Amino acid sequence: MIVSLASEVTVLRARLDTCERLLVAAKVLAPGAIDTFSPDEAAQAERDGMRQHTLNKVFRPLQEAALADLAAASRPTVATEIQV
Amino acid sequence: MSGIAESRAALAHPMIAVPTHDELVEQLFVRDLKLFVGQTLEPAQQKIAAQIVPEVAASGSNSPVDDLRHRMQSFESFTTWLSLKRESQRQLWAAVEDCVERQADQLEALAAVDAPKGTVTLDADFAAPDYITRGDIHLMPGGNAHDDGSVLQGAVMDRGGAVYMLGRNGGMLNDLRGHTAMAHLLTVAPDIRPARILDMGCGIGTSTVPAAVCFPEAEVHGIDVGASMLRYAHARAEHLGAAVHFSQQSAERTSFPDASFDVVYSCVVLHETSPEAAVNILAESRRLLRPGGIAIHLEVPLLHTLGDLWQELSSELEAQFNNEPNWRGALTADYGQLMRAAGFADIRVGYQATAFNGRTAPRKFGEASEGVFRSWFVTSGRA
Ligand SMILES: C[S@@+](CC[C@H](N)C(=O)[O-])C[C@H]1O[C@@H](n2cnc3c(N)ncnc32)[C@H](O)[C@@H]1O
Repeated sequence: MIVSLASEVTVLRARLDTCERLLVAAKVLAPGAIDTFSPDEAAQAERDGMRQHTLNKVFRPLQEAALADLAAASRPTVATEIQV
Repeated sequence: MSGIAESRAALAHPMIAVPTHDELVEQLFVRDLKLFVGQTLEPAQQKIAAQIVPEVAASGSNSPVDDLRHRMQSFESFTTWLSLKRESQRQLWAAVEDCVERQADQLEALAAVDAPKGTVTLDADFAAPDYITRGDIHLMPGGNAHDDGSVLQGAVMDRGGAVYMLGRNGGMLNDLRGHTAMAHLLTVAPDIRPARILDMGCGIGTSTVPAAVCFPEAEVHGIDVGASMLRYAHARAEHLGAAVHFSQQSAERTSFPDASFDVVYSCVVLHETSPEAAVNILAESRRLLRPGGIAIHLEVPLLHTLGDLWQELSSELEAQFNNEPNWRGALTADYGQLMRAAGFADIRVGYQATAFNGRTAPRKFGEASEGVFRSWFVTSGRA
């Protein structure tokens, strides 16, 4: 899973790099325009939201597993099972 | 360099490593991941613990925190949460190291300050104490004493701290602890005009520069164990316009003569040492004070003030998963007793309200913690 994800991200990076180079060659972007790009406040807020969204989506199963454990811990029968 | 959300000129001090577009996004991601771990996953574990605490209480165990931990371990989400906690911290340093290494030359050039006001004195034969070399504190690769002749370990430490502060007000100086120590000093001695001040365990000088800011007339010293950190601390202080004398020494036993300081303080150092070292550091702070001088030792809130079993367990896990060598020792100590044993008078033990500027902050010191980051544990005494 992680291996194929890493390979996907590598392909994506290369393709993005190609786009940047072609845009610079076509004089649509100045060289370094992306590296020196600074989002304004509204854009920054949107990007913060995007990042949060991705994070919550990717790690949602962990949160769900914790809630399932919580439900189990709240059941009295289980509570006796884990007595040590 | 211009454009990216933090250009060097816009920063509080120019020594800090500045991320590129991608590096900044990565650092923001790690910060958010750490927040997710702490604010989404951890509260679920806290609720699970709340279900289990009555069983722990009923069992009458004499180490209830260990008992709680043992029971929590039967839940897979508990161990997953802990792994992610550790991994996100490791990821933080990996991201920061890339960013620092890329601009190594630029940082070295910035560190070569012309006509400095302060100094840095390194000791090639210095042997760092075991508790420093045994594990990498905060999981920072190489640890505090790491040295390759450059300023880079210091730069990594500074940038790592800054990641926590991204997007917050107050800049990246990370100097609240130093200012809070100075606020305590001015609370107990409002008219003090110290001639010489020492910061023990100064790191990259975040806690030291506030002494120079609050007492511009004083001669300010800072000591720590790592040469790279100290080189960086020196450059950073110079860029901030503060005259500080840094030297590589152990706070357990320094080379300064008896009674050579008016004020000696430390900020969040004791929990990174050992119980024996903490005793030695208090004693050394007493030895260095002239009669009537004041020692201040600031720490994170003590464990018993946290009040419940889960808080105790979670702070113990923080210690273990973030490599804090003396967390329990330093945060369960009886400081009144330790300070008396070190020979101090006028001993105070309590909480000082967090100060942004030690000079102008409200002089608020009391018995109770106002919560993590709103106040700091402080013990002080007079020689
Ligand atoms: C958490 S940092 C705090 C740095 C700074 N005081 C602050 O508040 O930002 C603790 C520092 O104490 C230093 N330290 C630990 N034991 C020491 C010792 N025996 N002598 C000098 N420094 C020590 C560590 O190297 C580390 O830099």
